[in-house]
Amino acid sequence: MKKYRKFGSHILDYSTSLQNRRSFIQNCASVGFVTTLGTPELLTTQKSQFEPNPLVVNQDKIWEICSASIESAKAAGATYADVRMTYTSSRSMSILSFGSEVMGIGLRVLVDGYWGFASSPIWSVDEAARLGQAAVRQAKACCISGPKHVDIAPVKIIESGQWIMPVNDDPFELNPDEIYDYLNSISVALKHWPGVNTAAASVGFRKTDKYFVSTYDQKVFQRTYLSSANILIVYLDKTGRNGHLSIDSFTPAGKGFDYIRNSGMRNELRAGYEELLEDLSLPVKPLEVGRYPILLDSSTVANLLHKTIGPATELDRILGYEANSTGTSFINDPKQILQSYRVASDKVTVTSDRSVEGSAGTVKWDDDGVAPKDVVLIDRGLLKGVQTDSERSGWLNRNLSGYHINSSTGSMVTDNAQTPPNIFSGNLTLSPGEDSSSDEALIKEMGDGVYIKHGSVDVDFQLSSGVVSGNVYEVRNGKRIASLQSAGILFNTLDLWKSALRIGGSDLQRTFGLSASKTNYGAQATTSVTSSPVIFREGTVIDLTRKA
Amino acid sequence: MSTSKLLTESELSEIRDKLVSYSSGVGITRLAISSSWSSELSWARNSPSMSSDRREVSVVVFRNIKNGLGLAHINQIDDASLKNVMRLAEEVALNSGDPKEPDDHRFPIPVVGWDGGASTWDDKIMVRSIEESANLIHSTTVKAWDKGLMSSGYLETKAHNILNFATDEFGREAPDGISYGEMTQIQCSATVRDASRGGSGWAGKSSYRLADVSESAIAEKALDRAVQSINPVKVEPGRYTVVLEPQATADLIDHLILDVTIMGRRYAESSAHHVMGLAVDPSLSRIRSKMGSRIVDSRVTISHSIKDSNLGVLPMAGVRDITLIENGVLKELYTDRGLVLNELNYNKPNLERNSYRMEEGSSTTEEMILSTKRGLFVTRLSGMTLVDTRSLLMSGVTRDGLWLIEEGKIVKAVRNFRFLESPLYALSNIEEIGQAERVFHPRQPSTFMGFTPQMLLSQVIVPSLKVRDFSFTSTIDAI
Repeated sequence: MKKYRKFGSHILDYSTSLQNRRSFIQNCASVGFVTTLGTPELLTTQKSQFEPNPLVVNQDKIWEICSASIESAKAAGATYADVRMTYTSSRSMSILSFGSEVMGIGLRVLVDGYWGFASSPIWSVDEAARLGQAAVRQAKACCISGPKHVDIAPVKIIESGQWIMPVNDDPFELNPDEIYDYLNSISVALKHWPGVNTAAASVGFRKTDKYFVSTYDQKVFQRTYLSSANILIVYLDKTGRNGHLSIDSFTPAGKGFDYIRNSGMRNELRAGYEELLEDLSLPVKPLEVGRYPILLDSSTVANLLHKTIGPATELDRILGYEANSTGTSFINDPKQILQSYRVASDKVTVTSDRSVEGSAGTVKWDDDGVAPKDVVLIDRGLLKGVQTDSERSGWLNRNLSGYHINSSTGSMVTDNAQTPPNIFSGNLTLSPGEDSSSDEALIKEMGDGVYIKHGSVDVDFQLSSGVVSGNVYEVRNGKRIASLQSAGILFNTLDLWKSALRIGGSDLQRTFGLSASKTNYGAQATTSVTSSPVIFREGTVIDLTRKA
Repeated sequence: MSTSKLLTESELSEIRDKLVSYSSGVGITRLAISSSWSSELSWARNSPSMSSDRREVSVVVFRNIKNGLGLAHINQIDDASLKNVMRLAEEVALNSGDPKEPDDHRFPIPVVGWDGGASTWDDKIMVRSIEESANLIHSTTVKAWDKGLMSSGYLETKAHNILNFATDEFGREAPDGISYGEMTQIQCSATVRDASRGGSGWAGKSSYRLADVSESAIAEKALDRAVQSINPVKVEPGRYTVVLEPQATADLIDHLILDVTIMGRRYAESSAHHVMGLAVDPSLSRIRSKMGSRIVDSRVTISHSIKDSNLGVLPMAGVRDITLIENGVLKELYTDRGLVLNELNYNKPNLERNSYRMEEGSSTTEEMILSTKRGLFVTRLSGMTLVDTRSLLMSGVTRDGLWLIEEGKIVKAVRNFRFLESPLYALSNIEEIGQAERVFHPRQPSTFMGFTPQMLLSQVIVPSLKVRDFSFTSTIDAI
């Protein structure tokens, strides 16, 4: 049977896996390919031949274009305006490699309390001026019942400046050969492991330059990076045992190529492989539906945080701005912040930041131009904070006197200038509990119950309930004894978090880069979520495939 | 660009000519050059929250040099940028791919055979002003405000045009290698909530034609539904007869139509785990698909005719009429050129697309409710997740309006459920088929789908359905 491949698919056979570029060039040469192509210098390049548009390095011109759009918006009647110009380079390397270079300019204006936005791919003073008028027209069109009061929280410190995310190996400065050869070395290593039938590896890099100017005379330049790798191992041995493993150690992070080419890569792969073998040695059992203690590994807890507490504390969701799109929140009244509203057990403390080095959501200024602050969202189980932008923190000030955070938390995000910014969760961290040497030690602590690894989480549109699915194991007397088929956890979000008994230690903390999407026009953002495994007192284990 | 919302066809052609001249010549080149414009109005808490006018250009170059594959994307159209994007595609092509195994389905270049289809363009969308949109929305939010309800929603008008170009492996223009298409889209959806009394109503519609989408009717329906759904009660999970509104029908069968049949015959015949795949046929030593087998109720027919002016199509060779399911039998699956040439040995592909129509029946929704002893009336389904690929079992939740039917009458609003059901099972348990109508089924433009422009279109027309034994596994608190 011929294996199917499609664009964008990252799965490839060994026989065809990431091949050594040099051998490919030799291949080509041997059939006279180099001469046919007529551009031999292309094949001997030491660095990418791609030359960025000269505009993207002409900062003076960029600031001039930014100012032109702000001035045009002010002249047309905007009381506030901010403009973003972004230049985003992306590369993905696998069987089908991909490169993308996108420039954009987007202007946001406030007129009589209504927001307007206009964007374009063209970087010129004339276009910037057109955007000023277009954005104001959009805003003015909405002002039918007269001006609206918008409580924009006062920006305490307006600072200009520049910030470049610190990375060791800028993937865009490296010779692409280095990256291809490294991927090839991974596949060579995997090939020698018994039973490994297929492996797939791909890497992706993104670099974004963002210029931000607002009517507060703020001028900001930021450069951010996002790097990731996907490695999939498919195992099939002579006895017919089979399984697959997706290495989750290289999810998107605010790092460079060093993130992927780190000394721990081989160990991660080895550990994953051994884990797969161990899983396969367990008997497969049918499931007994019921309520059991649950241990979720760190990746499952990260997904759970990212799908529940993260979005539930985004103030736009709470206030109903997302009702027609991704949905609302189980926190349906912001006043609950002041009312000791319990959303989790007292073991649970969750913070949001946009400052941790190497995290996917880290920036120096958000898309309102505000320097983000670290926020405690859940303090020992009680709701303490929400994630806001300048506009909606103004709403909090007016409607929630007594709330200690009286300005934006800096949660406004857009990853490109062409999409209006929205509130997105920052990097989330679940505070660790007492040390615990390994997941196995926690399994021992739990005694009897169910353990879930590599779980994914689906929630409803109010984030109030959901299902966890993944690799599910029965635990008896502190040991994994069987793999449970088609098992999952059905949960009520608050009940589940309130039953959190034991948070794993900082030694088991891991960080994952996860993406979220919201709004009807599909705004997206990537952040990091850090967590350790958690034991929950009780959860409902169901057969995911059993109908009512 | 600075004055018009889209690039013209001749501007797109000019870009193509330049790109072709910048190519090193050898191997296959495919180009997708497009421009788009959208005007968007979001509202929340009964007031506009964001209004935008966005324009974009996209140039996607695919190069296939000696089995090396490269894809590059840029959104600038000056000469230097066009040179660069071609160079980037060639650079990544030389760095990737597999020199050993020729694999021609990777470049399904167009083929001869376009004889015209219905347009998907409506000038009225291009001239609809933001002021007009805002006025329409204002009049609806005022009504919600008056009733003490919270209205939120989204109204978008947009246009997109695309020039596709392909060469053969010698760099010559392929037969019928050029296609130009243009499309418009309007989408409107509204959610009205009465949070304190647990009511939430939704309505929405999308089309390429302005006249198909009435903002005031959508807002009115969302508002009515919000009022009708207050104070929902819990009923026991279990199997219920359901009356699915057309939107719920589309939500349920979308996965069957889009993810399964669109991946087409190649997938179905490459995996015995595929829902449309059967076991290996020993005489052919390959997997047979279920084509020719009855897979659902014999009243079900799902098709796309390229002359159907309600659905429309972008001009492109290899896009033909298709009847996916006829009288319950899996009749045809989408086929790409590589498959037809290599394995089926005839050059008549039928390329994937995103629009379809399910034939209607003779019942009305009222009649379906009237004939139901005990059941549920479902507005829409949300958060669909595939649980089992072989049976297409899916998990999800009901959203924005669920009512209990008893003795032929809607008696009360009920709490939302999580369900677990397969569209194949549901389509085999049909009791009645209602009137077909256009549903809310918009698509976000994606730069990287430039080579399959039909995927940008998504006109879906399906009927309401009465289905027995629909499986609801648990109640949920979400409203």
